Amino acid sequence: MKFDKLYYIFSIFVIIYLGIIVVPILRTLLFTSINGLVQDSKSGIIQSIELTYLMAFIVAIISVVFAIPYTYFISRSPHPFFKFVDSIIELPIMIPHTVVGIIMLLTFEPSMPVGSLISKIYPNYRFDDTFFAVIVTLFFLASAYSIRTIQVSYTKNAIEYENMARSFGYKPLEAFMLVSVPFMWRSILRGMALTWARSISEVGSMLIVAYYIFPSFTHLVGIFIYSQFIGNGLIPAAESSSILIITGLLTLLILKILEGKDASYY
Amino acid sequence: MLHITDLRVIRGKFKLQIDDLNLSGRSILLIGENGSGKTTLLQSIAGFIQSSGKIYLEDFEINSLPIEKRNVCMLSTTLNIFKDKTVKENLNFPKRKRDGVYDDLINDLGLAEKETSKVPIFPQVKCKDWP
Repeated sequence: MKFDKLYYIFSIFVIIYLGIIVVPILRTLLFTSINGLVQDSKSGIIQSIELTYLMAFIVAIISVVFAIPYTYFISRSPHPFFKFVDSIIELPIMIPHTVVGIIMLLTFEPSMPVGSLISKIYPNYRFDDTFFAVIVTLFFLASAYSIRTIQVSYTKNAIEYENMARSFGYKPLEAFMLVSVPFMWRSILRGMALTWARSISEVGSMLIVAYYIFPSFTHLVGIFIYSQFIGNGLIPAAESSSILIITGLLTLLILKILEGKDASYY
Repeated sequence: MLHITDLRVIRGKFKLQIDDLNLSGRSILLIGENGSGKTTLLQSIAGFIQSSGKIYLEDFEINSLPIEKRNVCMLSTTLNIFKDKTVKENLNFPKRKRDGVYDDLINDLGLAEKETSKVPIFPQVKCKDWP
């Protein structure tokens, strides 16, 4: 196959881009020895990663559960008001994450508006340093990734196919599940993966709402590595970072394989 | 028989208005320029888009019914086949179909031997432009 000049020019951009992404990751992995990783694995990093992955997974599932009906609703709402509503989705990405932590405290602390309502239903309700605080804050920050990824795949074609299925006798939910969900399957998984990955990387807001998580006092991984760096210096923090990178890479690889192929229509 | 009265559809700047229309017969050919409202009319009858006015199918008023209860099927020229499904799955897709229709179709189309094949093996049939 013969490539044109543009192909070679653009390949330079690809190489530089990959270099910016891959070199720091490789540098971190090569900085640490196998022995160091084994030693560091006893520091609590594994429990921290397990907890963080679990929290991020829960947030990813909840995001998709909301993203699918959201996409359905917005796609069928032509009024300009809903365009405005849709633009709000990306706002949390723009807000500095420490500010997000403060926003969450201002909303969900038991003495605050939403928090006081919850307190009336659950008298022992508390917000900071709880699983609820982690999940609701990460959802606030990362759900947009699921929504935008799923929205891209829910095209006008999918809606026309759904209408066609309904004209063949299927109810709206049946048509949606039978026609559109297989069409969006890959995007749903990709949206989940993005939300999951974004949730894992969160530190700023977690420092404010959940420095520890009760009752185990386990840190989320971002805070754990930050504490290691502040308390013990670069090397233990680099070793924990390597463990996080390796497990993260493996998980993303598995998700990529699971993604498979979308159902495709003419 | 299809009877339409006072049909109004507004899509952006386009407005379709049909005061009175009676359609009957086994096959009806609808001809018009690009943008004249052929698809809009069909989509209104099928319920894919909102319209005001009355649409009667065999004396039943259907314009207030949801798509799946109108007893009207609509296939567009480009979106009509599930590429990842077999011939059998495609022909069996309609939920509402009369008994024996699959056997009739598969034989009439001469596809009995290919019912388990995926659709993309068939060349796409293209209609010639109207002379």
